[in-house]
Amino acid sequence: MDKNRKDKPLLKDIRRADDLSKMAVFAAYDAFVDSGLNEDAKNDLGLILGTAFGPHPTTFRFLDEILNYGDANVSPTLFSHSVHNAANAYISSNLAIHGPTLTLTDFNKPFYQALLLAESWLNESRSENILVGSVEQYGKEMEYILSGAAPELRFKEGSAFFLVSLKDYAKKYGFIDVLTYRDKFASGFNLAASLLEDKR
Amino acid sequence: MPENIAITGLGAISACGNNAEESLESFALGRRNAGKVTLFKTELPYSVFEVKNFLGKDTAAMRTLNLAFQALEEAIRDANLEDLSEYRVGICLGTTVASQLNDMDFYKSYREKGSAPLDAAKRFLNSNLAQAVAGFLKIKTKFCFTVVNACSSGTDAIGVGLSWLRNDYCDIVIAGGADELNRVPFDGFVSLGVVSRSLCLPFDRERSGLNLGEGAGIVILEKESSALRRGRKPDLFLKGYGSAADGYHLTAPHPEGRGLDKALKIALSEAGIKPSEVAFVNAHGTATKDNDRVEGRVLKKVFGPELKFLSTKGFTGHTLGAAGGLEAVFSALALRQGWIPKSIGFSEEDNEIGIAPVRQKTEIKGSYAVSTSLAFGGNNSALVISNN
Repeated sequence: MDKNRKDKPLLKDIRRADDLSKMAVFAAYDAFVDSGLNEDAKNDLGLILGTAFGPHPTTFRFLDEILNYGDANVSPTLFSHSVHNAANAYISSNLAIHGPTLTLTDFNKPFYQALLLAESWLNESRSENILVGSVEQYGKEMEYILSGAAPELRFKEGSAFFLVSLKDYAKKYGFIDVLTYRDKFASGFNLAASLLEDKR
Repeated sequence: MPENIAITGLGAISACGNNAEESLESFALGRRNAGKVTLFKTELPYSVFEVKNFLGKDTAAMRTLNLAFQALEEAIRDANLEDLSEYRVGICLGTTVASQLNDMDFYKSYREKGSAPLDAAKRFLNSNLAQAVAGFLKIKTKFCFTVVNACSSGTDAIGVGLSWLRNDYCDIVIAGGADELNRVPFDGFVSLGVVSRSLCLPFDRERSGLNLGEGAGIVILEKESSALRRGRKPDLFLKGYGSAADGYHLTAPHPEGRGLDKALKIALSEAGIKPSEVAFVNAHGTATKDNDRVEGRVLKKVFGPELKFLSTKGFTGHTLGAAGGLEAVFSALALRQGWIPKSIGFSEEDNEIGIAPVRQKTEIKGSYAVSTSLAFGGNNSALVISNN
């Protein structure tokens, strides 16, 4: 590991997080640092995270606990990490973000929806700056479901974040003028549902 | 001056009633429909608030969807909006359970055999709440997603609806939340040590935790001009929304309620009102030690010790993603009816909080209500609703 990496203090703070939350924290942190905004900006910094499947591997580990040990002996840590907004909670608490935060789920276009919402919040001045991102995690159970139904999909994992703003200093990488999306992934998941039906 | 956003339809289903009228009856009578779990097998003896006498339209769909469809149909009838085809419609709904593939039979088979019947997987892939409602109504819209902000999901979904309308993305937004009682979050909340062994006592000195519940609360939001054009004179309005993160801890609220304080101030500022103009607050009031202490202190600080407030979770249990939707509906109904029920379950003031909810059915004077939500993960949200 690079001893000089700037996000090293985060590693200790998120050591108990699952991989989904860790990926999201690092991506969000990097976007904030890259923006050059100072710490004061975090007071009103908004945070919008989109995900299709959320922390499904952690959910299945929690189901393992129920099956292995019974209803009364499950891990509260696993449960608290299995909720979809756990990643957002880690980002906001580790980056000390105090603006509005929201996690959304959409099977087809979660990042697109997150960007649309960011635009509306910026237009309303809910925040001057918003971290917008998406995260997905690989899991063998979800791969089983999707590979049988939509083998052309390559299920990978990762996270990406942008810092967006209407302010002049946000010109670093350019502008988002028009938001459209291609229905490729939409077809994939709609296809998954219809193929599952056909296989019965 | 931004256009008024009207609330033209209300729909609610929970343990206290399968529609708005039944809910008001339960409030008036002080009826708590709690009991042991019947929806799934469990070794845990905690009381819950299940919706009674309810199967749902689509027996193949998740219970959460059926609860949502029930509240949705009531809201659409209430709004007199049977035909949505001529409007730009947005759909934003909150949930927790419907976003997770936590079917025990599916997973048990998969982990034992490496394979499983895919019915549960299909149900899951068809169960994104907002997308399912869009399909149910045969609406095509790009403004459609599900909020998964834990306990503030319903409130935040309504806030998103407000944003969409103010940005002129939509003419009408269907917003709120739905969640079913499910074994997985039931076990999870018990494991966190926040579930009471007896009926919950929101804000009470002897409170010992929450009871889980289920339901759906949906509002139809519409630009006032749109409502008037179709001959509907609205009597309820959504005036403000505020949201702010504690940025403090994964599960516990900030000890001084920093995020809730900020969310309330934003919502009141958007509504253009002072705290003294608020007739009552429908608090999050889960009956956990931490939530009620933090929330109660913030309410006292922002609104003063004479504030009229209550928690309706004594009637519904904590319905997770549905809570914000249900409590928005209950707040709107209270403004319309002119009274709030007693904060059921409360009898003794907690000196650590320093403020007490209403102990009996109370007439309200004033035009504004506030509904608050504090979420797992530290998000805090507030809505301001008006009958003016």
